[in-house]
Amino acid sequence: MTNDTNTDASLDPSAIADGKDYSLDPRYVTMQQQIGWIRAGLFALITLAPVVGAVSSARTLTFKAVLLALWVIVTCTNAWWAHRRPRLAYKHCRYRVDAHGIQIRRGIFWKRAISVPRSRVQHTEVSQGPWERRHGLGTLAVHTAGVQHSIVLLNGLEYERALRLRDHLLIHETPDVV
Amino acid sequence: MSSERRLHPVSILFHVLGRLREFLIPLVVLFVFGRSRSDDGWQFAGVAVLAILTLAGSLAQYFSFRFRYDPGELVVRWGILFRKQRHIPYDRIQNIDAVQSVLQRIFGVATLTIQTGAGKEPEASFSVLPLSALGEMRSRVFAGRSTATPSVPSAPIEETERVLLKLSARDLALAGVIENRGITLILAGIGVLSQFDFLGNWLRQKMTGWLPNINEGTFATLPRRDAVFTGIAVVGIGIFSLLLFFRVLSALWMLLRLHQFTLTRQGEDLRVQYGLFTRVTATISVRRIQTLSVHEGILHRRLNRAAVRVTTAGGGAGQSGAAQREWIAPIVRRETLSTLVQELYPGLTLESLEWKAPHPRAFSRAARRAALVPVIVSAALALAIGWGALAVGVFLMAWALIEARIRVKNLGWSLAPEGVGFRGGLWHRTLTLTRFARVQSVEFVESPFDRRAGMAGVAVDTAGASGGVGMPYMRREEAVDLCGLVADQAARTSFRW
Repeated sequence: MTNDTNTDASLDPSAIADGKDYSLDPRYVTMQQQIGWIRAGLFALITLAPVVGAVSSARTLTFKAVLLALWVIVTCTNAWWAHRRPRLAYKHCRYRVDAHGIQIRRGIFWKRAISVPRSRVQHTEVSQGPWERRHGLGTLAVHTAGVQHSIVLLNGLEYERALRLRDHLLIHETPDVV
Repeated sequence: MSSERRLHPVSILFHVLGRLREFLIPLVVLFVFGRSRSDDGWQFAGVAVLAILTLAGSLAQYFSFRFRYDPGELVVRWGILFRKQRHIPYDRIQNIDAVQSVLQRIFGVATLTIQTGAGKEPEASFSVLPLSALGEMRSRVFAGRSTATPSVPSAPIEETERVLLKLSARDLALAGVIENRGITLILAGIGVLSQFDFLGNWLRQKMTGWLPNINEGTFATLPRRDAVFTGIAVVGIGIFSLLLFFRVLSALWMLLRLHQFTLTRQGEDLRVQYGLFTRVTATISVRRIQTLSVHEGILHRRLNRAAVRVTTAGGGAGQSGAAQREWIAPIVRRETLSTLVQELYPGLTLESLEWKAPHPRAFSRAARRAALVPVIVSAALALAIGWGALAVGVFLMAWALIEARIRVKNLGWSLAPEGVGFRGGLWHRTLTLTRFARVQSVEFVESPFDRRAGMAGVAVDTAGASGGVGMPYMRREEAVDLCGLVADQAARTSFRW
């Protein structure tokens, strides 16, 4: 426990390793949705000019209508997915930390479950971007010596919780000599 | 604290030569194209300044580079303006390699590189040291390890060096023929040639002058139908002899590069030595092997041979030396394969592995996936050419299905003593083993198609150069169990670099 100000007994690093499944912080859904809306809006704005150009230069009325309808459909689907995806991702994401390590399960269609034993954790860090700071969230990064998954990221944790997870995963009870 | 050492004085020469090689092409360009139009002395002044700078740099490098063997660590210092000091604990050292070019052999010196697990670059590079320094460094590092970590039970240090594998010229030629590096060599050669435009132009002129000669000279006298058959025959023989030429070239390359390939073991350390012109000595500790793999191509199986490869942490794939080092046995007889593998993975007998097959319906999954490309290709061809293209489609489909069949047949996984193994491949079969103590993370992967069929895949990540090993199309419950088991077993062991 380094710069964690909460030195409560319940916030002892090992207390967090209860081996229970946890969902991410629900605020992560809101944050992702906000980012998604902004992205969808930008996408609509950027594509608007070429679409307007194409529509005005199209010869027949049906072609104009088809083009416009296509743009409306794509933009709406994009916006709908930007709104829907964070909730689905949230529903399908669970993580579990116990004395042996951390397991993260996620994926809406392609499901992946990654387990990192605690003894393989080289170092951990918690980062917090400006958007995450607004929502009180943090991202936990677990670094291993592996090649394919040298960094395992867990986004959407409550910041304090991310710090506690970091501290728990960092401390090794057995000194790793060799 | 022991005294500081320097590089061999001849280092200055090699450093200058190394720099010269970098400047060679610009210099050639300067002299060839510069002379024609300019009469000023600027370019020569430039070259002189360059030469003085190079020499000064080499001298500075030589005089600033020091190293010493401290108890428990190797300390390297270098730099004049920006001084650097690097401490490398002996027990973090993964490999010690020595490379000797022809010139270095004349002077009895070698370039030594030390690899730790960190990053792609070697931790320290000593260019150049007397050859005797390799033995000294090996023994110092080896002794340093055992004093630094007395709690870790290490195997008793064997003074004798046992030969595990020694390849004869015949073996090497065979390995060359099987490996077929010929095309890579030709491509590399073309790459070098393309640096010199005039050579390329000359070659192109020669080639274009040569090709029509065959057409006109050979076929003009023959009747039309015979000409077609002769044409096909000539092209066929041409392709065949070209392929043969590649193989022969590859064999020659192997003979030169891996000349007198010897794999020896002393205590925990494996030592690989090879090379006719450039002599390479690589040292790897058995404990530091991350993955071990056995490779079998079609020719390997025909000739009752296999190849064995290991990966260690660090040591980027970009380096040619590192890539070569990974071949612990470029070719080995099947009879001796088992004993060799046992040396590299104590407690394992290849024959005793119980391979588990993939899901029974894995073939239908693989077939559907493989059929995708032929269907698209034949549909496109049918649109472009006509219905006749469907014959091609049928052929492609049959081929894809055969490949899918073989691919699925080769898939398998097995528990090994304190580890796990996967096998796979198409014509080239690979069997990869890793210990639980080397596993960094385990991933369970389930696609929507997997979910419908009750299948899943497993991917195990290691610190080895190629990273992951794993298998798709497993039975879902087996995959879940395997992931749990590997994660559990890995958590019980502590990872040691």
